[in-house]
Amino acid sequence: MMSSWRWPSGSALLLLLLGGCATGYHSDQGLIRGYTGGYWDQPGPGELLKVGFGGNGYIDRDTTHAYLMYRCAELALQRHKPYFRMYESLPDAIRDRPTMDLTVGRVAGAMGDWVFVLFDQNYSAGDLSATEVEKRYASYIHPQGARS
Amino acid sequence: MSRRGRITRRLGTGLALAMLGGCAGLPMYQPTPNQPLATIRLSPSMASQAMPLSMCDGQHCYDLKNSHGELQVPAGHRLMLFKVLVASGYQRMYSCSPDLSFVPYAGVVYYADFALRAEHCVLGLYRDAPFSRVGVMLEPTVRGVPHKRAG
Repeated sequence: MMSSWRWPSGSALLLLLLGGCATGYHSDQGLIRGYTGGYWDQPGPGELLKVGFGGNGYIDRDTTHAYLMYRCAELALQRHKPYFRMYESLPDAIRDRPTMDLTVGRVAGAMGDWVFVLFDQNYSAGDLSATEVEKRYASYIHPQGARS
Repeated sequence: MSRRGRITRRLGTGLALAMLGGCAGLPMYQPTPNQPLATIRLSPSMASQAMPLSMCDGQHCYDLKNSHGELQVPAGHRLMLFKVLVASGYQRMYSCSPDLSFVPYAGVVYYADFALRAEHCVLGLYRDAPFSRVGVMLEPTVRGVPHKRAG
């Protein structure tokens, strides 16, 4: 007797694979990985860079927070800037009220957050050390200690 | 009722009418010749939209057309700017309609930003400040930047 069980179609299998696991640390661009979200950035105004991370319904708040902090540090180091400061909003940036933490929350069921970032060559009050932040959150990006 | 109260009420009525008639769409704003205008530069998230904002001038409401990441608005009297967002999220639909009012001055450049965060959507309007690191400054004529809960 033939079994009635059938392999799922390619598209159903792909959706199952993509939708069934939490967003990883990667860009939100791209046909496959971008489907589940990822990090993004937008320039301006001025020297500010708006940096965000959008996850799916499976990623938790701590991981989203860690990914966004790590991405800000990574962008600072890519620009050869040892420090960066984060602002939760443009009014906070105008008043120079940096934040040390993020308000990660859900928008329509998906976890995500964004900040405005200024990169600094020299330390000033409110700055975070890019190297220290990267070290602090590296275990979320490289969970098995793959990073030396 | 004070002048400010009357203006706010007229702008509010205009906004309500605009939202109720949202399905039919609003007429596109077309400046008349020699009309004094102000420019609103759009943040990257808004610059990709054809009609990122709408406005009410106390009598009529219009959609504003995005031209190379900028909008033109009439100067000299208080306007209400608003955005109606309806989008699909992760297994959910959400909507919000943040608004603000301000008095545009002819020849001045403003910067508009829209953002979603933790079930709130925010529309912000600032004055261009190209010589500051942040690039913008607070616009003193802006009133009411409500944080509305996404539905």
